[in-house]
Amino acid sequence: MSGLGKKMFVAAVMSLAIASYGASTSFAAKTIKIGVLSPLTGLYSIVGKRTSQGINMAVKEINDAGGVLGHKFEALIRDSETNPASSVRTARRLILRDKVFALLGPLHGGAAIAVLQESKKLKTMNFPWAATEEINTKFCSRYTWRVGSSAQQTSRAGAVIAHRLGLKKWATISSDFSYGRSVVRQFWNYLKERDPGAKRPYAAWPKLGENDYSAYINKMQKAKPDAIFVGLFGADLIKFMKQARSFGMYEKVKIFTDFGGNHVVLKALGDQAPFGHWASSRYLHNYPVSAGNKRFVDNFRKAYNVYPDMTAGEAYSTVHVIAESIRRAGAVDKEKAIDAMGGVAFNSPEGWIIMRPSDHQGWQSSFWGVISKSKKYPFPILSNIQVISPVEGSHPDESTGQGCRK
Amino acid sequence: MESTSGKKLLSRLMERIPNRFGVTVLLALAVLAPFLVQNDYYIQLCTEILIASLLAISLNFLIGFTGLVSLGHAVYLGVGAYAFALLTKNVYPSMWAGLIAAGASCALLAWFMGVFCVRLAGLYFAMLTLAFSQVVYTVAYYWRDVTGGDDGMLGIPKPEIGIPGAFSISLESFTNFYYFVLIIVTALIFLAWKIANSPFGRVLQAIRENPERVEFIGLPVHRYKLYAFIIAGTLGGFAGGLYSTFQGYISPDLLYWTQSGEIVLMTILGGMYSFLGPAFGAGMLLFIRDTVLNFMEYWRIVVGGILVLLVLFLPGGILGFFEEWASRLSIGGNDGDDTRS
Repeated sequence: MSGLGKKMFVAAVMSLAIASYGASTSFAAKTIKIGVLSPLTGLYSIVGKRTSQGINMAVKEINDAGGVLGHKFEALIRDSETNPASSVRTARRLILRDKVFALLGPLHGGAAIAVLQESKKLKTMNFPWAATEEINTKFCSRYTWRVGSSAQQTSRAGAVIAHRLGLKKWATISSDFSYGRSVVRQFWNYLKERDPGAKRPYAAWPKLGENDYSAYINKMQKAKPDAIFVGLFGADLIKFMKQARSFGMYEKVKIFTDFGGNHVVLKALGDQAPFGHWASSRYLHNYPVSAGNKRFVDNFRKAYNVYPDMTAGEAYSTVHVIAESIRRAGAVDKEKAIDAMGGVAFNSPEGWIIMRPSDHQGWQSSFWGVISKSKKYPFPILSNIQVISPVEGSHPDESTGQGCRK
Repeated sequence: MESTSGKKLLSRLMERIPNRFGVTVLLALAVLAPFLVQNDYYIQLCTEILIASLLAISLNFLIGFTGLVSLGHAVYLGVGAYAFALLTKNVYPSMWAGLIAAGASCALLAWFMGVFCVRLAGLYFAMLTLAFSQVVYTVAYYWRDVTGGDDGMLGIPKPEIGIPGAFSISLESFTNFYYFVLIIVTALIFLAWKIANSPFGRVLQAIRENPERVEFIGLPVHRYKLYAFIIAGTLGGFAGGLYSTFQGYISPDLLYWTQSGEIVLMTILGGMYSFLGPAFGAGMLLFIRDTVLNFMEYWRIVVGGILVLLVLFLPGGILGFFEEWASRLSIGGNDGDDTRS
């Protein structure tokens, strides 16, 4: 019987523990809730924390300045787990239960496309972090917008530089999912357009989260390219780079990485970074050297004691753009804010971002640079920064974004 | 004396209507749920719990009843989901056709897999089911043209139900869809319960307890195991079909071994020797995930912690514990052990 007593005690403790997890959402009268899907765990978790920090900083700035139309901002940051199913589930919870005004994220391309279908159905504006170009074309809707650069903008900009350097024979590697395919497609098609003589004897499509790239690196070396274009993202890119280095790839070919200029990646690679090779980042803490960027970096460091990375910059700008759309609309109203979104201009740390009405994409410059050691920073940075105008980076005409009107 | 008579009364109650009473309350709660929760989000959480319950009960047909620990049950969730999606999106948008396709494809798959798997026992059986499910996962992952690869399939419809020309019910509203799922899941769980309590079901339990002895009686153990495997797979397939139309979006993650692990977890959490235990576990797992995720991302730690406590203190699972407790009361505190089934 004493065994039974013990069991009952344990059962009681456990049910108490479960009960204490009851919902504890705050219901402040005048708040605008922003739901955020951030990759806090899993493959992309290296950028998840910075995303949250960027969001929190923007929310604090807006609230310190008195809020928007008398409303305070509140960010509900939730884990998207780099997993479509849990991203969709969390998106639903944020929209239906927490009644968020706008939904930010997720970062995984496939998950982002799944979530934007959901936010369209539930009539809530959604700003995916994912850069897949299909978000602005095939899957675009009235409710889908993006403030950060698209894969199209950065990889086309990469093609401009590749063409300038006269590199002819290429190999590409990227993860086998929508974003991964999108980055390479945009880069390669734009390079072929500019230089019909360019050749690509080998294209590798490892799966997302691959751990061993040696087979792909071997085949790459056999193809003897002049340069390789790497579309891998997050932890995959870091794994690939370390393995490519051990195969001596850094000395044999020119390397272009679409995501490799991101501060957290360069910091993680440290001395193993591919110095002298080209990389891009959608936001850079060391460029442009403007008062706005300096202020952002200083405040960010003061708050979190780290440098803002690409996702921090994007997340920060996204929250400010939403605030601006509400100000323009003159009312805290989901639909009116969307009506006012097209044409919103925001002077972000990286320079002006203009929300293009046709494809719902933030128009901005793209940055590519050479990975270098720096005396000023204890980690690698991009130097010799090349700024590519949005005219070269974006969809050539207004018609591509027709899907966004639906 | 008074406490003894009270105990007697309670024991009589438990004896007569332990299941019927509990099930009636449960059903009443399920029917009233949309009115009780009053929020679209919780209605769809309840919908998901129903689907997960069916899935966990289908797995328990193998684990709890037949004693076969399968580590590849997600394969039916996934294949059922893809079958529903492919049929309703590409061929014919009908809810019934989609669900039948989900069930039938999984019955076939389970038959094929079962022929190989049921000859093995214990760890070997577990590993082979895991291997089969990983093969199917890999196919779904790489067959981009059909399955959409890692990006998955989008825009899976919720076709309306009814009689063409006479009437039709849209399932787009959360409440309508909840009741639709409730009816289907209740019917299938009832069917499973009937099978489990039929002579056939008793043979499965006998196989779990002592396969050699069943063999000596002259019953074809392998064939019985195969039937159990097919029933579990088919029910799992229906759960997959429902999940597919519920989410409107599927990806190969559904087929991954971690998903199989989650179903096993539900079963153990609720109690594998109790018929409704796995459903209870499914509800608990989804509820814990939902509440914990609101304030931290490490919900698996909480679930893991609870599981450790369970295995140490309540090896029969949570519902299993309560059922055991109730039946102990009903036989006057005697530590009898014939409470399974």
